[in-house]
Amino acid sequence: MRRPGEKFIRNLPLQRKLMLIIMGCCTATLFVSSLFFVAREAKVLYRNQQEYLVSLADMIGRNSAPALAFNDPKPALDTIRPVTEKGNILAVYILNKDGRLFVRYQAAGQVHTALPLEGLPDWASQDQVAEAVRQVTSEAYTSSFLSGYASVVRPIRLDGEQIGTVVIHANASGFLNSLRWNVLVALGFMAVTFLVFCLFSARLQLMISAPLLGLLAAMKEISASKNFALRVTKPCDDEIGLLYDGFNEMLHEIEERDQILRQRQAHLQQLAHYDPLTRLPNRTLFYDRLAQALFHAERAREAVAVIFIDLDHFKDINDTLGHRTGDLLLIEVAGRLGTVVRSCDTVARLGGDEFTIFCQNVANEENAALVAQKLVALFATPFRLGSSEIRVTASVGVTLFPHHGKTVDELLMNADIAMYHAKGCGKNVFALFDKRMNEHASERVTLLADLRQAVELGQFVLHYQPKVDLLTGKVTSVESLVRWMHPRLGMLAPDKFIRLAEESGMIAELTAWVLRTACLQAKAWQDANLAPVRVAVNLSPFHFQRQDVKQSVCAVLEATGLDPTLLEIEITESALMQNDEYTCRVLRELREMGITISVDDFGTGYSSLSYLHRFPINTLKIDRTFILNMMKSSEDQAIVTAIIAMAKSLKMQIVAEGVESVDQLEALKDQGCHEIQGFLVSRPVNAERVARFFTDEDHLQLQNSAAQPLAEGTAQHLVNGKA
Amino acid sequence: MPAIRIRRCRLGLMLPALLCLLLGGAGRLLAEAPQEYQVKGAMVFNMAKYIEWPTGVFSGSGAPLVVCSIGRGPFTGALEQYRGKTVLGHPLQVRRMQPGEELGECHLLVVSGVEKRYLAGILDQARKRSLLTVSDIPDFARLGGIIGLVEVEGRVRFEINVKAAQQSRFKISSQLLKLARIVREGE
Repeated sequence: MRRPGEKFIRNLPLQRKLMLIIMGCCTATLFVSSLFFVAREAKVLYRNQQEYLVSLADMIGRNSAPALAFNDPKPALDTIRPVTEKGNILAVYILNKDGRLFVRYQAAGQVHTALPLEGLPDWASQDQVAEAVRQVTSEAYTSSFLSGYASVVRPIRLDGEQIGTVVIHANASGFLNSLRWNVLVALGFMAVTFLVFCLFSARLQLMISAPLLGLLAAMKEISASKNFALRVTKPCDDEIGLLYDGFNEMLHEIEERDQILRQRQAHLQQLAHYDPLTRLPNRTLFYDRLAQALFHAERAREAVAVIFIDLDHFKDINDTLGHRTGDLLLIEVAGRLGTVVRSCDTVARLGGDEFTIFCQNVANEENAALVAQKLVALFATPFRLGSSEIRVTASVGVTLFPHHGKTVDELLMNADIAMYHAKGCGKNVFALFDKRMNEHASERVTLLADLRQAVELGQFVLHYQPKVDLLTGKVTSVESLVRWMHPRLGMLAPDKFIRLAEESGMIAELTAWVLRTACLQAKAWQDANLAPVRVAVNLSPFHFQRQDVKQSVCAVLEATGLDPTLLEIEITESALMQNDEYTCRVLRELREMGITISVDDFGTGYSSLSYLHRFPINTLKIDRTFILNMMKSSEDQAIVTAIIAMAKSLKMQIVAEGVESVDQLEALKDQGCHEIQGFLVSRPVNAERVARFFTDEDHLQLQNSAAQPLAEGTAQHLVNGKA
Repeated sequence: MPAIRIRRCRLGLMLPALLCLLLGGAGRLLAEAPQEYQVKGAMVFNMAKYIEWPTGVFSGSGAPLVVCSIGRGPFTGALEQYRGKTVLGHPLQVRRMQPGEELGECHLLVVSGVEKRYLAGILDQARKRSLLTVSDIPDFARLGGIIGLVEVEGRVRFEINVKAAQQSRFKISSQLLKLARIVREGE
C-alpha cells in the first residue's frame, strides 16, 4: 500500500525535501515541547487554583466546625460570607455529619446553573447529596477546563473526627484565561520559531543540496557541450566529495575513451581513404576527387588531365631486392611525384606500382604533355635507398577530359591503355592517348580470349634448341620453347603471349602442358634408342609463387615414366630470388631426384652473388645480350669472363646463350665456357628435326667447316641471325 | 416536645411535616424524650472540645476526662453513649452522681432535673473544685453555672457565664463563645 502523499514527496526537488525534513523535525520537536510546557503550566495553574480553594475550604471548615457541631447554620453563613465576597467563589456548601445540606451559599451575581449541588433542595436525601458530591469529586478536573468552574471537596474535622464536608465551587475563568494566555504565547513562540526554522533550514539544506546541484549543473553542461575535459572542484571531503571524485574519474575515463575513439576514427578514415604505405590517397578517394573535379570542370568548361604512371620492371626489383626495398622505393617515388604537381592536383596510388594523377584546369594537350614529361624526368636521377642506389624508370599514360572520355572509369582505362602503349614503346617514356591505342588494346583483349582456348584446341607446339658441348661438340640437352600456332596471326613467339598468360593466370596450365609434352617427347626419344639428351623446360616464377613445383614435376615424371636425369629445369634469376627459402628447398629436392637445374638469362637480374652458391644450381646460362655485345664491348667481354670464372669456381656448368658467330664461339672456348646455344648451332626447330642432332658427331666441327650433315635450317638461320 | 417538632417542620415545608405527623404518629412521640437529650449529650461532648481546663487538672495527656452527672432524667443516659470516646486526647468517663456525693474526681459536671434548692450547693461545690458545669435548667448560667442549655426557636442553644468560667480558670474558645449567648450572674 502506498500512501497518497508519498509520490508527491518523493518527486519534490531535493532542496524542498531537505527543508521539509528539517522543518518537520524541528516543528515536531517544538510542538511536543510546547505541548509539554503548556500541559505543565496548566497543571501548575490548576494546582495553584486547587491549593487556593483547598486552603479556602479548610479555613471555612475550621471556622464553621463549631456551627456544625452545635447545629447552628447561621454562624456558619457568617463565616462563609466574608471569605467569599472577594474572589471568584461561585458557591459554598457545607454538609453535616449525616451527609445532608447544612448550609448553602451562592455568591451574588455569579449564577452557574451547572453546579451539581445547586439543583438539590435543602431537604435532599443523603443519597442524593452523596451522589452529587461524588459527581463533583470525579468531575473536579474536567469541569475546570470544560464547564468553567473549579471544585474542591474537603472534610470538616473536629478533634480528629469528621463532622461534615465543605464543597466549594469557584469560577475557573481566571485559570482558563491564564491557560489561554499560555497557549497563545506558546503558539506565538511556535510561529516565530517556525519562521526562524524556515530561514535556518533554507540555509542549512544548502550544505547538502548546493554541492549536489553544482554537480548536476556540471553534468548538464558537460552533456550539452560534450566537453569531457571539464572537471569539477569538490567542495568538501565527505561522501559528496567522493561523488565528485568519482564523477571526475568517470570523466577522465570517458575523455580517454573519447580520445581513443577519435584516434581510431581518424585512423579508420585514413585507412579507408589513404594508402598506408605512401600516405597518398587510395583508389576510393582518388575516384571520389576525380569525379568531383570532373563535375566542376564540366561546368567551368575546363580540361582535366588524368595521368597513369607505372614503374618499369618493378616486379623484378621486388623479386630480387625484396619487398621491403620495393616498399621503400614506392615511398620515394610517391614523394617525388608530389613535387611536380600543383596543390589542386591529386596524386594517388591505385595499388602495386601504379600511381595516378589528375591535374585540373589544363589548357591543352601540350600542357598535359609537359606535365607527363616532367614526371618521366623525375626518374632520371637514381633513388637512394639507404646505402644502395636504384635506377628505375616509369611509363606514363596521359588522357584528357573531356576529349578522351567523360567518366572516371573511361578516363582511367584510357590512361592505362596509353601507359601500356608507352611501355610497348620501350618504356621510360610517356604517351598521350589516342583512339588507335584503344584498338590495339582491344586486340590484346581478343588475344587473351583466344589464349584461353588455345590449350584445349591444341594450338601450342614445342620447338627445341640444342645445347652443344664445346669440348666434344655433342648435343647435351635441348631447350624446349613453346610456339602458339594462332589461326589468324600465324605462329607467335613466347614474348607475344607469355606475359599475357602470366597476367591472366593461364601460365599454370600452359607450363603443365609444356612440361608434359616435353617429357613425353624425351621419353619417345629414349624409347627410340637415340643418344641420351636432356630436355630443358622453363618454369615461370609464377610456379614458385604457387609452391606446387615439385608436385607438378613429379606428377609429370610419373605419368610419362621419364628418367629424371633426362629432365632439366630452367628458371630465371628473379624466380630464384623470390621466396628463396622455398625455392632453395624445392630445387634441392628436384636435384636430389637427378633433375638438372639451370639459371636462365643470368646477369640481367639483381642477383646477389653472395648467396648464389646456396642454391643447388648445375648450370648458369649467360644472357644473350652479353654474348651479342662481347665482341664490341670490352665491358661485356669482362662480364662474361667474370661470370665464367665465378661459375667455374662454384663448380657450375656454363652455357652461353645466343651464340651466333664463330668469333664468339672461339672467344667463349678460350674463356673456358662449357656449352653454347644459339643460331650458330641451330635455331629452335620441331622435335623431328632436332632429333637429327642426337648423334655422336661433333656438331661444332661440322659447323666450322660448313659441312653438309648440318641441317640446312641451321645454315639458313646463321644467315638470318647476321641479318 | 411535639410543639418543637411541628415548628421545626414549619421551618421547612408544611406538607412533609404533616405527612410525618400522620404516618409517624404515636411511636415517634414515645421516642421524643431521649431524642432531645441525645442532642444535649452531643452538645456537651462537643463543647468539651472547645474548653481548656486549668493546668494541672489532668494528670497526663492520656488521663481520662471524667463527666459526672447529677440529677434525674435521661441526660445521663444520653451521655453514656460517649463513654470511651476521646476529647482532645482524653478518654471520656461518665459517672452518675447522687446529690451530696463527693465530686473530687470530676472534671465536668452535668446537672439535670435537680430542684433549684439543691442547685446552689452543687454549684458551690463545683466552683470549689473548678468543675465545668453544664445544665439544661433554665437560667442556669445566671444562677452561677458556667454553661446553660436553653431552647431558642425550637433549637437547643447555650448560654455561657464567662465570669463564672474565668473564676474557675476555664478558657473557653472564642468560636464557642461566638455561638453562645453570654450572660452574667443575676441578670
